[in-house]
Amino acid sequence: MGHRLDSGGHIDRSQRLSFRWNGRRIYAYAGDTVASALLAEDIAIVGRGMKYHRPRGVLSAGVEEPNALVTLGRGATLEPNARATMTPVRDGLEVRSQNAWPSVGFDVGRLFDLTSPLWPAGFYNKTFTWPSWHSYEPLIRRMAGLGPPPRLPDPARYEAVNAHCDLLIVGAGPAGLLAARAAVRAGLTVILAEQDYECGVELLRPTAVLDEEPAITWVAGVLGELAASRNVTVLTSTTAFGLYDHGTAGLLQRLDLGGGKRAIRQRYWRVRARQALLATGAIEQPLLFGHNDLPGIMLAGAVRQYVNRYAVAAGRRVVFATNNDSAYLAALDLVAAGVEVPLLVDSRIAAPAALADRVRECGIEIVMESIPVEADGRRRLRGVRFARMGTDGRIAGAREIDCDALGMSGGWAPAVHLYSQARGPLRYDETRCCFVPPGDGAPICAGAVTGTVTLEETFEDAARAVRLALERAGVPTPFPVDVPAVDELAVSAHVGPLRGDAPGRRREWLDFQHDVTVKDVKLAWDDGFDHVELIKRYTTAGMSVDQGKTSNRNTLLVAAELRGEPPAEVGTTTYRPPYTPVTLGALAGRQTGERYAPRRLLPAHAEHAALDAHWWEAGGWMRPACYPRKSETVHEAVAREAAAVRAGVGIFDASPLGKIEVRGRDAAQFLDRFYINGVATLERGRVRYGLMLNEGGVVIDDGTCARLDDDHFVITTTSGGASRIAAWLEEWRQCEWPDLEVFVTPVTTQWATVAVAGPRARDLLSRFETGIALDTAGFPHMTLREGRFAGVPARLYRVSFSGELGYEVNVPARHGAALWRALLTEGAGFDVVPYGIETVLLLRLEKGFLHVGVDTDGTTCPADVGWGEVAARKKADFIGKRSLTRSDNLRRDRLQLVGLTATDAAVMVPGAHLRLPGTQLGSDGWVTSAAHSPALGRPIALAMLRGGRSRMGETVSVHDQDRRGAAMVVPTPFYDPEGKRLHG
Amino acid sequence: MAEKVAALLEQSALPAGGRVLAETLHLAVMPARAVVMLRIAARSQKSAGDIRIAGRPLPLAVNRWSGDDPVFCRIGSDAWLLVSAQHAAGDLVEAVRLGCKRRSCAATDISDAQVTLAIEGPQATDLLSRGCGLDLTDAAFGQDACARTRFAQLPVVLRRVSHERFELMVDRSAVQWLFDWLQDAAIAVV
Repeated sequence: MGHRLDSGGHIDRSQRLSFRWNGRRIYAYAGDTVASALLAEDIAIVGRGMKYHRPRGVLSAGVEEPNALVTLGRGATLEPNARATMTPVRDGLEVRSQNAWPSVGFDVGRLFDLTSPLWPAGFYNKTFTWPSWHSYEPLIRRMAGLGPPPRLPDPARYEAVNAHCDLLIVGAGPAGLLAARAAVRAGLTVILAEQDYECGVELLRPTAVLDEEPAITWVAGVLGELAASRNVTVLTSTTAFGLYDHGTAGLLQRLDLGGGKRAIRQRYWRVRARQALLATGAIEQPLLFGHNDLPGIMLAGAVRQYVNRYAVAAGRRVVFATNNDSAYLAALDLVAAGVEVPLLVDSRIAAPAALADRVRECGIEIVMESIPVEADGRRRLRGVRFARMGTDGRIAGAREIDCDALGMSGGWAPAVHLYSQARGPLRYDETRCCFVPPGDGAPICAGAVTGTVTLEETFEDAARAVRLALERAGVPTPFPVDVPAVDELAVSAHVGPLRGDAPGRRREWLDFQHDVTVKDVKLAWDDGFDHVELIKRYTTAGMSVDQGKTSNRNTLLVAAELRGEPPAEVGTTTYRPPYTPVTLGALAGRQTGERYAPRRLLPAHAEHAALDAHWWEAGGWMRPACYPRKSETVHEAVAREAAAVRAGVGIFDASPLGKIEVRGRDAAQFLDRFYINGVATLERGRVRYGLMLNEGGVVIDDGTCARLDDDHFVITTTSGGASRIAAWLEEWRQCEWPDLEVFVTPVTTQWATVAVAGPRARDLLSRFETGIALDTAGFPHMTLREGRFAGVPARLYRVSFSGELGYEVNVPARHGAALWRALLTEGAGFDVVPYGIETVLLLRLEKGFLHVGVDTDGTTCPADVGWGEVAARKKADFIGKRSLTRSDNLRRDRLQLVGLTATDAAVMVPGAHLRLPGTQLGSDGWVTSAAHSPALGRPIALAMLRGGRSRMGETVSVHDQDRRGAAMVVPTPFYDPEGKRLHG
Repeated sequence: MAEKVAALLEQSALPAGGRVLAETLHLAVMPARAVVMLRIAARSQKSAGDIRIAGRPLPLAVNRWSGDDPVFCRIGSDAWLLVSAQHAAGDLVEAVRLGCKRRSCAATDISDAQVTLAIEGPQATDLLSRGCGLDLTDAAFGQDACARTRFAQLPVVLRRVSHERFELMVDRSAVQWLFDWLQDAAIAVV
C-alpha cells in the first residue's frame, strides 16, 4: 500500500495543501505532485487504458507517464490529459480521472478488455467491416480516447516570446547544471530549460554525495551562481518540445504550475540558439511480462524518486525486478527509508559484486537469471510469479512472492528525441540496449542522453560536452570546468534480457497509453507488416500523446526478436515535435480575437464610424460596407446608396486601393512586361486598365497604370493584392531583370483616396479649388491630373468602377479625414450620399466589371474573362504570354465569364452551380457574383460557364444545395452597355 | 476652402500622445515626420560613399543608421530611409536630387504612410521580444542599428535610438492596432 513516510523527502511539511480527486479531498504538502499525493493516499487506480479500459496506476515520476493522465479544473479552465506526475499540487486544485464511466474505480468500459479478442490491433480493418466501419466509429471513438477538450473559450492569457542565446541547454540535471555553470563562467549567454519545476531532481536523494557534501548543497551552489549572473536565464517547468533548423527551439513554459494567480498561464519561447547542448537524460523502460500493467507495478527509478523526493513509499512490501544495476540502487534507497524490500529479481547472469553484496547486506534476497512471468492481482498488484531463464531465453520453474508494489527496470532509453528532431543520426548500443547519439555532432549531447550510467560518468561527459561547446563558440582553450568529486557505488552499464519466452502467459503490455501488447506486434508481423515503421502504424505503438517514451525501445526489441535480426538492423522510428503535448493556447499566444491579425483603419475611420457605418473586414481593412439609416437593413441601404449614385452623386472611401510607384529609366519597359496590354506607349497623364498574369497565364490582379512622367508611373492594384503585387514586382526586378533600372515603392497608405461618382460628380468637385479643368475635354475618362485639391497636393483620376461619371481624389493620408468631411459638407447641396464597399460591388456588377479573386480563380486566363484578343494583339512579351498558347488555354469549352439573369433571385447566389441543358451530372460552372439590381429591377449575376460566350440566350439550370432554378445567359454589361454615362 | 481643409490637418484615428505603461516602460506616438524612401541603383552604389545629403554622408553598412536630423537609415542593399522632424519631405527630396546629382536614384515621399512609435525604458527589449524575432541585445543590435523586419505580423522599420529607446516605424493604417497590441503585451512585461 502506498503511504507517506514520517520523514525525509523534499516536500515542505509546514505547508499543508489540499485538492480534490474525483470530488474527494486529498491532503498533500507543498512540493508534492498530484501523483505523489495520490500514491501517499494509496489510490492505486488513477486511469484507464485508452482501448481496453484496464485499470492503471502511476507508472513513472516524470514526463513519460502513460497512465496517470488526469483532467484539471472545470469549465473554461479545464485542462485534459495533464500528467499527474508533472502537476504540482496547489490548494483547491480540482483533479478528475478521465476515460472512465461511471468511475475510474468501476468502469463499464472494461467490457472491452473482457472481449479483447474482438479488438486486436487493426481491428477496425477486420472486425467492423459490415455494413461499414463508419457505422460503429462514433460509438467506439466515444468509448476510447483521452479527456474531453474544454468547450468554453479559454480565459487565460498565453504569450510568445523570442529569445536568443549563445547556448541553449536542455535539462537541468547534473549534466545540464554543470554545463550551464561552465558556459556562464566563460561568458556565454545561456538559456537553461528544465521541464521539472525544480532543477537537479536526480540529485535530490540523501545518498547522493558530491564534494563530500550532500549533492543538494552542490545544486544550491550552482543555482546560486547562475542566479547571480546576468548571462543566464533559468526556466523551470519549461519543456523544450522541438528543435528545428538553424538552432531554433520551441520551449513551453508552464507558469500555471507554480501556483498562485499569474498574468500569463503559459509562455511559448522561440529560442534562436547559436548552439544547443542536450542534457535530456534517459527514460527507464518497463520489463515485459504478463499483466505488467497492474496498478502497483512501477518503474524502479520512479519508486526511488517517490521515496527520496516526496517521502512516499509505493508499497509496504516492495519487490524489484530488473535487467540492469539501477534497480539495485533503488532498492537500497527504499531500505534506507525503512521500506521492506524482500526480493530483487535480475535477468542477468551476474551483477557487480560490490553492489550485490551491499544489497544482500540490507537483507534483500537476490535471484539472478530470473525474470517475472506474470503479475498477480485483479485491480492492483498482489504478488508476482517469476522463473529462471535458460540461456536460450526459455523459462523454467516458477516461484511466487507476495508484494503490493513492484519496481521494474528494463534498462534506460536515452531521451534522444530533440537530437533526432535535429536530424542527428543514432547508433544502437548493444551493451545498454538502446539508441544513443554516435558522437560529437550538433547538437551536442551530454550525460545520460549519451548512455552514461553513473554520476561520475555523467559529470565527466558534461565537462567534455561543454568544453566542446565553448571551443565551437570560440572561447580560448583549455577552459577549466569544475567537476565535483562523486562518492557512489560502482555500477555497470550492462543490460540483460527484457523478457523470457513463456508461451501461453497473459498479455505483456508494450504501450501502456495505446494499449498495445507483444501479441499485437506478433500479429502485425504475421500479417506481413515487418518493418518497424509499419509495425508502429499497424499497432499504433508509440503513436499516443506520450510518443512511446516507455514503449518505443521495447517495441523495437520485440520486432528485432521476431525478425531474428539485431536491433541495430531493425532501426528506429522517427521522432517528431512536440516532445510533450503543447496547448493550442500556447501556440496561438496572444494572436486571438482582435489580435488575430492586424486590423487596418482608413484615414477617415472616425468619420465613417460617426456615420454609423456597417463594417466589413476586407483584406485586413475595416471598411464601411454601407451606411444604413435608422430601421434600414443592409440590403435596403445598399439599394438606396446604389440608386443615389446612379441618380446624383456619392462618395466612397477607396483608400485601401493598392498604389505602387514605379520609377526609373526602364520603368515603362519593366511595367510592359507585366500587363497583357501595352503600357510602354502610354502618354503622360493617361491611365490604362490592365490585367496581370502569373507565369502560367492565370489572372492574378487587375488595376490601372498611370504615367506621370517619362520615367514615373503609378499603378493601382486590388485592395487585397497591394502588398502581394508590390512583392511580385520586386521579385522580378531583383531576381529576373536586375539589368533594368527601376525602383518600386508601395505607397498605398501614403494617399487617402475618395471616389466621387454619379452624374453630379463634376458639380461637386467644382465646388473645390483644384486648378484642374474638370470638363470632359480637359479631363477625359482614363486620365490623371496632378495639382492641388482644396489646398493640399492631390492626384485626381478620371476613372470609374461604378459606370457613372467618376473621379478619384487622392490626397496625402493625413488629409483624408478632412477631405471626406469637406466632400460631405460641400455635397450637402447635391444630396451627396456616402456609399460603402458592398454598394461598390453591386454597381460594378451591374456594369459587368471584373472582380479578380471573386470572378476569377487560380485557373482563369484572360480569354476566359473576355481579354483574349487584347492579349493576343500585344506583340511584346509579358509574363504569362507563352502559357496562353497552351492547348488547354485555347479550348473552346473552358469556363468563361458570362452574365446571367433570372426571375427567381433565391437560387442566384455566389457558389450556385450551373448545368447546361441535357446535363444531368456534374457541374458546368458556377455563379461568381450575384445581386438584385436596383437599376434593372431583377436578379443579375456573373458566372463562369463552360463555353459560356457561345451560349448567349440559352437557359441553364442553377443549383444551390436543394434549390433549383433557371437563368438565361446574357452578355454584359447589364447596365448602360454603351458606356455613355461614364463618359458623361 | 483651401484654408478650411488645411486647418484640419490631423492624425485621424491615431492614439494621441503616449502611455506610461510602467516606470520602466514608456510608449509614445511620435509627432508626424517627413519620411522619404531613397533607392539608389546598383550601378550607382559604388560611389554612394561620395553622396552628401544635407551635407552629410549616407551610412554604407546595411541595417545601420546615422545622423541626427535628418536621420539616414540603410534598410536594404539599395534602400535608405530619410527621416526628419525639421525638414519637409519636399526639401529632403530636393536635397537628394542635389546630393545624388546624376546618379540613378528615386526619392519618394512616404511621410503619410508611416507613423513612428517610441518604446523606451529598461524593459523596452522585453516588450519588443514579444513581437520581433531579432536579437536585440546590445551586441547584436547596437545603438546605430536599424532593420526592416516584421513585428507582430506587420512590416516595420525598427531603430535603436539609444540603449533603452527604440523607434518602430509602422504603416499608418495599422498603428492603432499595433499601439493596442503593445499595451496588451506590456501586461506580461511589467
